[in-house]
Amino acid sequence: MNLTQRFICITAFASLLLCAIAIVPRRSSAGDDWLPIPPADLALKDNPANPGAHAMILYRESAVNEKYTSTDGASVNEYLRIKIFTQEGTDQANVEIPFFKDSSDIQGVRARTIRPDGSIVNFEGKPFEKIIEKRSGEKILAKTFTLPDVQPGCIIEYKYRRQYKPLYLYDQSWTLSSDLFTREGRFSILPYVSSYENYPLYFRQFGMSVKASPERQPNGTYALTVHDIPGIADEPYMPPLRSLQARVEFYRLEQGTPPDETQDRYWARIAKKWDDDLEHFINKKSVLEQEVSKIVSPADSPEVKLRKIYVRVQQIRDLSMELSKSEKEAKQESLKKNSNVEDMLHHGYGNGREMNFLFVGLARAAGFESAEVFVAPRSNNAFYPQLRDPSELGADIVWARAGSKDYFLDPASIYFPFDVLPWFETSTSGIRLGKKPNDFVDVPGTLSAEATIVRHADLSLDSEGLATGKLTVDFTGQQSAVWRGKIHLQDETGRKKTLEDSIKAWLPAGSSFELTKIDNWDKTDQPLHVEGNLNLSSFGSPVGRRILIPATIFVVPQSKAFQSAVRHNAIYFPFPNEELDDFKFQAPPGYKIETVPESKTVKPGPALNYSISASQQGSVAEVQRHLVINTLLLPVEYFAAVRSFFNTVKSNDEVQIVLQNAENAKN
Amino acid sequence: MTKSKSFCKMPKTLKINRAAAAAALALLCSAPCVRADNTPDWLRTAAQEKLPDYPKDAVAVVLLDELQTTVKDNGEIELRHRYAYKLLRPEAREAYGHAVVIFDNETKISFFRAWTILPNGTQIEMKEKEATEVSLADGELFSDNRAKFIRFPEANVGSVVGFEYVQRQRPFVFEDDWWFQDKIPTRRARFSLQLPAGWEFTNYWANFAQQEPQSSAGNQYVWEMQDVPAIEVEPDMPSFEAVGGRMVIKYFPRDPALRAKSTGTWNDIGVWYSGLTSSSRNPSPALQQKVAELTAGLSDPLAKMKALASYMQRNIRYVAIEVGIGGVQPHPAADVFAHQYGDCKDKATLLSTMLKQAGIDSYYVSINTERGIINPKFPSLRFNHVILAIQLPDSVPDTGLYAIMKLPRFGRLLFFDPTNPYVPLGYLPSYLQDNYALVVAQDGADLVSLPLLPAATNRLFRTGTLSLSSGGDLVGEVNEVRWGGPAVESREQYLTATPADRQKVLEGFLGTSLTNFSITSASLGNLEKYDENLMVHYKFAVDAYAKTAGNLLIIRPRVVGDKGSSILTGKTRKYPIEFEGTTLQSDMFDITLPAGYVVDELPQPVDAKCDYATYKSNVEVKDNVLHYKRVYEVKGVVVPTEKLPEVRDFFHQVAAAEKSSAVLRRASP
Repeated sequence: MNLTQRFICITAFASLLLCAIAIVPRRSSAGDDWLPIPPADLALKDNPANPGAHAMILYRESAVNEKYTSTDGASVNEYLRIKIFTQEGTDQANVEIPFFKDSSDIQGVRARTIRPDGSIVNFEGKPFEKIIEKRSGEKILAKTFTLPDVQPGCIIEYKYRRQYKPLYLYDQSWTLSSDLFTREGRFSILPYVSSYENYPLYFRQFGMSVKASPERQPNGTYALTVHDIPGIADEPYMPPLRSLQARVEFYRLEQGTPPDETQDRYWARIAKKWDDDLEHFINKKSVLEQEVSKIVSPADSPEVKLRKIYVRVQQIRDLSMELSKSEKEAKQESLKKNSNVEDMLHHGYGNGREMNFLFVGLARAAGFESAEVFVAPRSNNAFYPQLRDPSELGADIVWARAGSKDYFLDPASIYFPFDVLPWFETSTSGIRLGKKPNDFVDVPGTLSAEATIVRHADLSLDSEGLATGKLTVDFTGQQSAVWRGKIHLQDETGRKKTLEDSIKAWLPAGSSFELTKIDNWDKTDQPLHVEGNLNLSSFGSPVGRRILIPATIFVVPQSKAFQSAVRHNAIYFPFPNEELDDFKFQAPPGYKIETVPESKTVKPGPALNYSISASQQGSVAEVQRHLVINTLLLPVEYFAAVRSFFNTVKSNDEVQIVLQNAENAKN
Repeated sequence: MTKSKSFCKMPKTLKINRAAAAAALALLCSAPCVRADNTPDWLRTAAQEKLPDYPKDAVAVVLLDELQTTVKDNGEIELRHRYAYKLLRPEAREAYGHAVVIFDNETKISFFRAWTILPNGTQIEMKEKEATEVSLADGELFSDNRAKFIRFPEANVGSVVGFEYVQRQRPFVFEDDWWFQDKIPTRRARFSLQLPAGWEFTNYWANFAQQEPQSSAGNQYVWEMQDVPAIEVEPDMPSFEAVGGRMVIKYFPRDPALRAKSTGTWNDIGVWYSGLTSSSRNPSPALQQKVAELTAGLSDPLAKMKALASYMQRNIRYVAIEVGIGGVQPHPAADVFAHQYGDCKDKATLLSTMLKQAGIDSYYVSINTERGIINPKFPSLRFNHVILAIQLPDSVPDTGLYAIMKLPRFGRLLFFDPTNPYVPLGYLPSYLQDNYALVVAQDGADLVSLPLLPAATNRLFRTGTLSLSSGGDLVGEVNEVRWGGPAVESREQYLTATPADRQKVLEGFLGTSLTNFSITSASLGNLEKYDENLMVHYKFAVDAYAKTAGNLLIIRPRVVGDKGSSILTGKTRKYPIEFEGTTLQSDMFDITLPAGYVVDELPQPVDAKCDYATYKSNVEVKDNVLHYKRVYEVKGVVVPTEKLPEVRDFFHQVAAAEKSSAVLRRASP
């Protein structure tokens, strides 16, 4: 089940303070004082800790004050000071501060430019209020302005107050990382305190050392000072952005949460609540047994039974895979809510969560142990139980045991066949619901052989170097399911064009591919099979009596992605996978094959493997190629080796087969 | 009629992309809707129309595109737009699943409704209050341009969707255009015009045959077309606006007091713009002081011009603040100078004011950054950019100044774009060359065709000295000298990258030709001296550059740089090709061959040519050094469709030549 299918949402928290609060003195208005500007900062030409950037954040301050929540409303004072190093860095002077109009306002905007000589130009204008989105009941606006006289060498700074409406508390978080390097950041939050009711504030932090935790001050404020937070570079094959960000999130427990709850008790309570939803939904034993009797036969092996149940669930119309409908659109179609599995089987539709629930119910009715499992979708984040953040568990799958074998399945992902989980639900962890408390589980990873692209090309060359022929491509396992999911909303014409364009992108410039056939589109347990006609203009290069042709016809995307020797982030592959290629080249009439490349194997370690070999039979040369990526994450320290590997792959893909005009052959 | 707010758009400024905008909104809109039996007749009629067969890749068809224009005698204009689409494929939801209206403070919406008619006949209505509103300003643009979206409910295959809106406005000029050609076929397009008594109009059909009004009763006119074909998107084609069918129309009021709002002749437009900008170029003391500071010690007018132009390009940020008349009228020069930012017309205004302080006259020049929009025979305000024409004193010779024209009214003018940060004085950005421009004087204006600069003014000269080992490894160095277009292109790439990432730019370039390479050193000369040649020098090593095959060593003499074209493949084109600009580029590589190898075969010389470009390459070996030389020249920028086969054949020859290799053979031991 993908992320959009979730309906359990624990952390959205905006508690209305209904009780009367003792009258407290009003806070004074925000001060106008700017921080002093050290001459060294004015003279700064570059960031010694991160040389060669357009700009850097010298100082950032974010001070949350919830003290006056019940009267004026909570507020956040923000302050940002940025050093501009290059002309291109002057873009930082265009500022946009978004806010929800219904719950907040941006007030007291002040900004100024400090020239390299120390002279100051104040922003004297009025911020332009821009509508980011306005619709019935919601208004997202932004205060926008641009600072004057901004040149390389300048420092720009601005501050403002985000003023919330009274009587509401909002979740606060500090994202310490940005695209720019931050030299110093100071963050604080003064929590709301009521004499009538307790709203204790908790926090969790990510991507930071323990030493840099917010510390409680004598006045009740939590304060944090950080230094030298690197900017996050955008690079291909990088881990999910959220996993790279340093941030602190503050939260309050739901009302009724037991005080001083241990981590184990916390997760036991959360899991029980989720499990209650499941049990309530599938509490129709006779209905489920009756349905199971229609699906499986007693003679079926345990796995066959599970497969049949899986297929049956996937026959249900999965509303989560359709375009989102407005309330009235759903009403238009007269879609009724499913209260339980009986409703669901009767209606013949359900959302992704309900589909997984149904599988658990049917599996249990068939005599299997089965449970719902909430996992962290690793496309976005990992799961850290100690952080007590249920929102980390943004995906759900099911578990079943047949004999001694455990199965992790996701029948709600209707383009994924039995025993193939969406990649972001593999090699991750989560919590299994059921009677056993704190049943944390690790979902196993996948093998590279379970996600392959198998390509066969049969090409004929002419004496000008034009190569034409047929190409077949089979996407298997994860590769086929990803494709099916990606283009499932398109019709046949759209699918054909999307696949055709994707395959064209594998080919050298000047090539064309006309897709003629897609097979097994609806057979999710079969490879997705694509056929078409190739036309590789100038593929062979005639030179004198010879024609030279590269051993392979496809480009290696990773080689381009890792072209630069400079790398900041770890290397992240979504899932292990393999490419298996077989190319046959028919020499033009009158030509013979003079040489074919030597076999080559490159295996720098267990994570990466490549081999290529060529043979000849008469006037046909055949090349077989195998590329294996058998890892998910490689630390940045391995980048040089990874880059070298893919360069070697590309280099060996380009080795040439030499054809020679038979009449002119010297031997 | 839409207010002309196009004087200030740079090429890179965000363009409104209906598909992208609609897709962005797709996740946002889920407003309620109601079953309706009040679907308007025009939509019901459109939905019932029998349609011809359309290509199977057509995602939707425009059943009706109607614009009713009602002009009142006081100059107020009411526009009623009606659109109806039939959705033929699921992909239609992305681009045609929303009703979209663009407006600003001068063109407010007074009515907006949308409907869906399902294949089973059920009808659903959505009202304006259910619309989502978003700003169209972004980044460096501050404007009141906004859009309202209504997501059509049940926008599924087979559904007919439609919407209607009304806008009232008092435009700055009585000029409008009606776009009736889309990326999907249009079944019926209709434009109706109601003019007050005594009013007149003229019109012009761009990229479409002249149409006559089908009925005219009183001062009412109706034009209607049927089965307008879709515009197909092709690589390197001219802009959508330059190929799409549209009618440009101008109104002439009865009341002479309102006539100033009509764009009669090019001269009239010049007078109008001159009036609009009459008070913009007043200097402030600070501005005067800055001019004095920048030109201190300079007596040569050209040196003064260069100093001021350079200041403008490097110090004045591009920021567009376009609210109301600010879309066409520049801010005062003193304000632009004080803020140190502005849009194209602001920058032109400030530079013009500064030049005047230095004793040099200059003129506003209105232009469209896309070729093919301006029709010299139909004066209109279809400009989107402002540059300057600088009056050259007689003492300044033409030498090194390529964007010069002599005009009877103005004398010798040097055209310069102060907004483009990388094109120095003397040059003109490629997109402005071979393009119509309106040079505005105080008492009028002349439309001129700006020159296409010769290829030799856009030069890349690359030389390399390299050495090949017997194992096939290549080491060496390359020097590039760039000026004109190739220098602008490289400067933009290097300067927009952070200094830390500049190596990535070079790696990206080398990666298009090489594998397994490492840069051992690199330097950039004159990177920020825009009026000097850009020098790029790099040393690199390539493992296994030459491929071994038995006792052969195969080497591609064209080590780096490619002239590839995206027009090599694809179906038959409908539209011309536009090259980036003219250019003359040469490469010379000397590669010392490894001892023990003899040349077995060399690529044949290539001499390819077409009317728009030439390519010559030659390889020879002398004293064990392989000498590779090629020259590539692009002489014209717009290739008409009838010449496309010739140009495609030319690029096939270039591609083959670039891939060709030399074969070395190991000499007998």
